[in-house]
Amino acid sequence: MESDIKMDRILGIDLGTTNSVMSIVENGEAIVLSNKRGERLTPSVVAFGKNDEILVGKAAKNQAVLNSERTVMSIKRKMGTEELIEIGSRKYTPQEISAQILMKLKEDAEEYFNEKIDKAVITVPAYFNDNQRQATKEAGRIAGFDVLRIINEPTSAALAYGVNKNENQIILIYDLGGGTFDVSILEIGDGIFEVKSTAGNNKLGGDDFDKQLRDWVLKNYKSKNGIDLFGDIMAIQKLNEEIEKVKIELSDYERTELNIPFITADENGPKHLNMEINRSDFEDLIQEYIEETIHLTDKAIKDANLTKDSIEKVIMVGGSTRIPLVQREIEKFIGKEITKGINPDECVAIGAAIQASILSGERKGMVLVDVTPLSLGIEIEGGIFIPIIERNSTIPTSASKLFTTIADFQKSVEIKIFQGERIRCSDNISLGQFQLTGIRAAKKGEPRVEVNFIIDVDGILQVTAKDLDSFKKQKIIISNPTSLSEDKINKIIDEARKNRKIDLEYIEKEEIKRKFDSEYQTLINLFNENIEEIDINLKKEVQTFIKEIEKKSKNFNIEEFQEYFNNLEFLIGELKAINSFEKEEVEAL
Amino acid sequence: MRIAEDFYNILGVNFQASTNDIKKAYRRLMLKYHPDVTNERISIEKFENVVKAYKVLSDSSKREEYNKIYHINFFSTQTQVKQSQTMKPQESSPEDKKSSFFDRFNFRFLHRLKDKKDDEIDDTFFKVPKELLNINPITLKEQFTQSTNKYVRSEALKSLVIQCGRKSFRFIEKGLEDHSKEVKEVSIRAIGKLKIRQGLLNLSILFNNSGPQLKRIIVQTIGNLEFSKANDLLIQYCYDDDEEVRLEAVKAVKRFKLYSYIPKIKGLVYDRNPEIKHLVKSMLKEHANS
Repeated sequence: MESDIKMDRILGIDLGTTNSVMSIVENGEAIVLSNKRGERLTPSVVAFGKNDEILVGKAAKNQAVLNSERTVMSIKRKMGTEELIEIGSRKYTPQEISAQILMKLKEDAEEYFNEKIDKAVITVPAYFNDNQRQATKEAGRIAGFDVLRIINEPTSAALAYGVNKNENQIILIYDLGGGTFDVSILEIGDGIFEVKSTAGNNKLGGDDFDKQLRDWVLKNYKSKNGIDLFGDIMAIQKLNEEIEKVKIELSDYERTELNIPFITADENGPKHLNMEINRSDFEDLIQEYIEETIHLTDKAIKDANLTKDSIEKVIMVGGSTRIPLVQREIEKFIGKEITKGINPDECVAIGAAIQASILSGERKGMVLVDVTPLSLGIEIEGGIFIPIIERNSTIPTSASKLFTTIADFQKSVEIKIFQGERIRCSDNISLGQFQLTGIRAAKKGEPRVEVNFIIDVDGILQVTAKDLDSFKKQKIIISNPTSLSEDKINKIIDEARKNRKIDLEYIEKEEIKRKFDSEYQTLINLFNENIEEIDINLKKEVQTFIKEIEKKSKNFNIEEFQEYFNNLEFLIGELKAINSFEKEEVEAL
Repeated sequence: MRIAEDFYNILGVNFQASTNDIKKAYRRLMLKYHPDVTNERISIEKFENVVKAYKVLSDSSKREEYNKIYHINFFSTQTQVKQSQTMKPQESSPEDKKSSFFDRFNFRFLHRLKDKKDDEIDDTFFKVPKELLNINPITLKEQFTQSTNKYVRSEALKSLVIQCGRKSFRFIEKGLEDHSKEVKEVSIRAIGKLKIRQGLLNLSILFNNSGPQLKRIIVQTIGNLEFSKANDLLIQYCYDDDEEVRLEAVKAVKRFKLYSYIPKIKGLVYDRNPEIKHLVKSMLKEHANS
């Protein structure tokens, strides 16, 4: 009987700075869905081919070195800003780029289940402001999702952690991802996941660590070799890719080696980068960032009216929490061992899927009670910020403010809305402004207009105004510079659909390129390993080939590459032949 | 600031509720009113109220402050409960004199009574403060039956009467047996206000066992009942031993224009009290004219 009522599947999506993860509840259990390539983590990388064909995920990441100008990474850090991403002649909003990632996930999930999935719960950092939340919701819409809810990442992780636990406890979620840091304190029990406080910095994460490490490497390289690689985009791209690997290795090993052959070339020929990096070097570089996260953790505990001792569980979320220094510092600060057994990459998406099942009514007796991370208010005379809804207020929530005129027969009032904790409005985030018009002609101070601020369950602000003299309700449209209009969104959706068709055709070609990339790497490795044994003619041939590829890769053309591919296979064959011949010889002796 | 809601009532807990009780109640309500789990639009408002109430009552210092502002310290403080267990409940123990909302209210009321022309019916008697009307009846019943403070009992009963109407008769009856005059008065007036026919019997019994002050109140109330049985009683009370009671009864007869009964009280033209004499005489004159 019950199975006859088929519920729509709702996708839980952790739209991360570096990686995105999707999860869905199947038979009451949240599972992580693999993408088409069989990976549980899809890199949040979007690349545009020459004809605006779009690549997303590992495929985009793999070609980043060859196509750096048309590859977009860490778009999440630009969400909610006015910054546009220029790809050729076309300019994209951050929403559109994020939408591409979401579309890819949607497509892969649909293929997995062989049915349409158009509902989603998307996570955002708890410390995301209104503009960033709006932008994320818009990205979801552009991708063709009905975004049922925007939920906070640490809260989502808490949901994944506490879903089958009955005891009452106070937990701290320390979420250090690729681009953002959040810390949230929750009290869970009786099915209620109640956020007590949240703090964070949405411009602090693993990307910053990479950058610090990269700059350190570049500086060292310069002092040792006298070569400045800072302006060399190609070299930087190569380095970026390796730096992340080095960072990850340093979580497991005390020291590691950074090896990038052919990082650049000068009149004396190709240059290689070879450097040993100690964990302590890396730790020195990121110490300051970690201290900032500890400071924010302290703030969250104070905001929750708690002490460190009352924290019963410390849960680490986000890839960057694998860094031993991070774990050490937080354990030292709280005075408690961190709770193990939670997958820091996947728990946010799993929480989103669980939230989806709460919203669909599939899961009963559980609810998330979240807060707004930043105070919300208006500007008064002198550019002073007056909060109307305080930070850490349980959402949804609302508050009203009475406005009046300051001049006789004034017909309109301008209201500027801000979000943040600073006293001066200019230090806070502007959410836009609006004009209250149609105020009745009267002496100053007489008309009364009530403006109502509502923060909905997604943490997104809505404003309405009521003229208390006429009881006429006014609808307010906040002119938010980063928010897209309804028309614009629809236009983008159409466009994205069109591009999507091209994308699908492109994927086949892209597979060839991916194979090419990996084979090309094999060639380089073989070449470097056997450089002594290779005869002069073959050496020259390979070097010419590499040079050509490096040059070509800036104007990446897939058709040409098919040709190169054959050549590549041939060269690899030749190199392998040397290798095996040598080995045979050794055996013969 | 608006002070319309009663936080205890919103959470459905009593004033003695422990922090844990409050948390449990809050969580239960979250599962009911959170927009994620209900589609009712009205629930958002309820949700916000629950949150507001919980934020205050879950924080001991905020709760204390709230109790102070809303004058419910008699109900809530734990020490009060302990004291009542160790001390003999006294009609006018020093505790009763604490400046509470009820105290002040009662004082105001008594004060007003003195100033008032006696023949005016006190309509404002049941005007209890708004916030009291928002208290959960279950809590009120608890307070009414358990409190050692007569003012608390009487205010709780008033609130019950207003909130529950005739359904509160059980408690009104109980109030008539209360050892405090104040509570008895509430019960008497409640019977009058709600025009409870059954209550007439209770009142006549109480009348016979009461002092002049309560008798006067009973007379005032009975006159208001407009049942023929009530009129019979009223005429009977016109011959009460107490001068004040007699005067009250005669006034009631005049006020309710019970002219058909006037012949029955004409003997009072010879009453010692000049006011009674005068009143009865004038009524007889009017009756003769009509």
